[in-house]
Amino acid sequence: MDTKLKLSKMKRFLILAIGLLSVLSLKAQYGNQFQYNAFFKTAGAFDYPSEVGTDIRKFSVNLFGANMYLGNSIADINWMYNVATNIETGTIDGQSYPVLRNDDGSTYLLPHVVLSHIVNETPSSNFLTGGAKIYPPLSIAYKVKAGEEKEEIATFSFNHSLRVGTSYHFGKDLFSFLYNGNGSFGAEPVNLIDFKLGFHAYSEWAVGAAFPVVELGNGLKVRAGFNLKYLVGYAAFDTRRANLNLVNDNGDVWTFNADYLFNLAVPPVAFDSTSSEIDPVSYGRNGIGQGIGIDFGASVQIFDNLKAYGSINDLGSVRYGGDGVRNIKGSESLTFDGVRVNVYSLDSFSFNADTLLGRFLPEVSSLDFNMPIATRLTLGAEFGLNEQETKKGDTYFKHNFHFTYIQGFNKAPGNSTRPFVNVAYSYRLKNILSVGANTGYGGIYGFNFGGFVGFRGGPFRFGLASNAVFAPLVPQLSKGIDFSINMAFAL
Amino acid sequence: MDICSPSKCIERIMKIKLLTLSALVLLLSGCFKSETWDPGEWEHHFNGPIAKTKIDLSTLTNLQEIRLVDNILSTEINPLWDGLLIVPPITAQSSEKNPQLFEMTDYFKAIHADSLVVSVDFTNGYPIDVGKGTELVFRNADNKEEFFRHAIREQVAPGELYEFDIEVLTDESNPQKIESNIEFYLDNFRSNGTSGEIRDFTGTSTNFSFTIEFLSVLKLELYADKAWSDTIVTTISLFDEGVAQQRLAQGSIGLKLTNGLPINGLSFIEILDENDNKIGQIFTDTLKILPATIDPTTTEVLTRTDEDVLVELPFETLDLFYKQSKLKISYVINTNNISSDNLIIGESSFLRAKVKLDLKVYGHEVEIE
Repeated sequence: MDTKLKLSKMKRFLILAIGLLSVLSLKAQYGNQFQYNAFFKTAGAFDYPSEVGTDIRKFSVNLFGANMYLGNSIADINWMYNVATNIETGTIDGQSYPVLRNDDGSTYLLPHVVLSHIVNETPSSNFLTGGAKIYPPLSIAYKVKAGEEKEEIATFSFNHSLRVGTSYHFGKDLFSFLYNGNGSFGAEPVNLIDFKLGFHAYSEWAVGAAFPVVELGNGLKVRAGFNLKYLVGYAAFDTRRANLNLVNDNGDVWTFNADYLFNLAVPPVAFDSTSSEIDPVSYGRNGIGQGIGIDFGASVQIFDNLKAYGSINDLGSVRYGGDGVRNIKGSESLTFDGVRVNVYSLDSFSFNADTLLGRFLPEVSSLDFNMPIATRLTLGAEFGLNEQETKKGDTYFKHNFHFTYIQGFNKAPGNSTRPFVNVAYSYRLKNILSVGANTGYGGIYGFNFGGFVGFRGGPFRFGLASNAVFAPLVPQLSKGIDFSINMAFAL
Repeated sequence: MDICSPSKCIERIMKIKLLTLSALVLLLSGCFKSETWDPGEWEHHFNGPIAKTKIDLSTLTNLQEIRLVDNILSTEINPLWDGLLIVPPITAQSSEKNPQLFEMTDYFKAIHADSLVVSVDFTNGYPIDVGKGTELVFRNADNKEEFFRHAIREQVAPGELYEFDIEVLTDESNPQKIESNIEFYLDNFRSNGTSGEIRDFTGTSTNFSFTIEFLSVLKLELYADKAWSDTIVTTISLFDEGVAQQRLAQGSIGLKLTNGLPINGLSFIEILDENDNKIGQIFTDTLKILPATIDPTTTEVLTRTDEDVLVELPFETLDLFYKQSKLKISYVINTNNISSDNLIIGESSFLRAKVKLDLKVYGHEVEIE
């Protein structure tokens, strides 16, 4: 078998793999549409480290960029819109209740509608997830070239970003308990606090490099890249374990088994009654936790107009310690077989809940803990048609097709373990305008239908994007919103 | 092609942005579809324990803080102490032959305790001092066995208050038996008299106040053929008025009784309307408690009796619980027809009751005012 045949087979294999990935999953995650925008490879390269430098001749400065997202698995935009706009206050027997009324006059209590929806029409585990990422003007890339043909040796990058993420993952036991009652579980345990709640705010200082690895001929090129990040943590909250299981023994005895561990890190001033001020400069620079993160990935140029790339992002954690850390944990078991009634004072018996809850009083400590960041796998591909050339000799494609697959590996704040698949089309007009639309499913959004636009005026670049911008066209399928903006300067 | 200047580019971008946003707002506002709420019937199934109670020796012991008050006239100490008198010093007067009789409880024939506290206070109402060494004595009425004797530690002048607490301890294997009927008298009464002065003894008396607190009771003896009964009426509101007829709930209530006491019991529960008219009942038949068998020597419970009752609560019964409905709970406990040897409550005796509820509550549409 000759080399040419081998390469041809490899290409076919890659194309097949990409095709398979595109149909493997119709579920979801936040997308970064700057991956699709030809003018913002540097910003997109935060997700694909190997792509840094592919859209610049010498260097770029990302002036400002921001991305925020919010999604859930419980309700689509249409449902939330209708609840928010139709809620009324109804009076029943002199008491006010929130109600929802249909056009035919049939009226339901709001908890009835909401609990029924969560219990009967959502997956077995749900989430609310949101996050934001801001790039201050400290994101630069510089391409080092050598040789007579000025071939790229490597492109080095340095960037700084601020990240905030929050997630609330929860099972349906509590809602089923409230809606269907404990009797509906029979003898099966009910986890009354089956949730994972997390919040994390940190910044990252990253140095990275991307470089050609090998050129195998026949247009097949491999490129690799990485980002090494120093992480500065500002605040974190994580429910490492949260279990309060209730087991009902034929209605005679309820057994509660609690096992929980919550970690919290905030500026020490929050626990120091003698100090009321925080030094913002010191806090911004040093934070209250430190950590290391890494992104690494590779790109494969299969044909001139077909490229595939993949990366592992945000592998690492922030370690929190010191006076601002609290670990709240408990492990307790107790049984309840009825409220004790003194028969000699039946007229005035009372239920002392404090006594029961007192058994669950947590143990509080200040031990260091690690807060993972949102580790995920990102795979992508782009395919171009109708190649054009600028006056300066740069080539681009007029029609571009993109594919993205993201799989979160953990439930770190802002992450989703539900896979996300996205496809996009972008049209590039004379290398000054790039506009497109994308659609996908999964991740934090459910169905998404978004758009993006980028402008290039000389060295300046400006872009806007949203995965949900067209979501209201299909509001019954969309469960999230997001928005991105980016400004850059590149040569 | 022309490449615009940065300022023109920004201007163009802003125009396009505004146009895009305007178009989007128009587009999106018309895209939401009206939802129809149809959550289906809401069935909430509660299954669990509600209440429990236990009557045992410690429960009964907690009841045993008994306060006795006795007013002793000066003539009860000495029949001659009446009117204007000169009284010489006294060394050993006693009211033993004219003791005060107390009935501590209606139900317990005797209490066997190894630890009790007696608190006494009195303000001397006699026109002479009560001398140091005067003794306060309690004894059982039947066997005349003394279980408390206290000598006053200091002289108490007329009008002066005297207080003390004393804990009476005995060996656990040989507890003090205290009968329900007890006698109190003053013994070895001492006084300096009137010191030659004439004083008025007419109608003078002293209130002796005693509190007997049983800290550790080991055994109770009950009277035979005694009965206790009570009726408790309590307002209960499960549903708002006007809603009850919608058949909102059904289920069952379970009552489990375990009896280790030598008593019979009867109980029934009626549902009353706001005018106290009976409109229903919880138990079809009267609930009966049968007595346990007790070993009279060791006080061990030889056989316990159990009663496990599951009462169905159909829609019709629960629909009776309008606002203003009442539950009338009546019970009778007696020791009729039980051998006196068996009428003993020891440390292993108890009556335990547990109530559990299995209730399905239904909800659907609501009618708002």
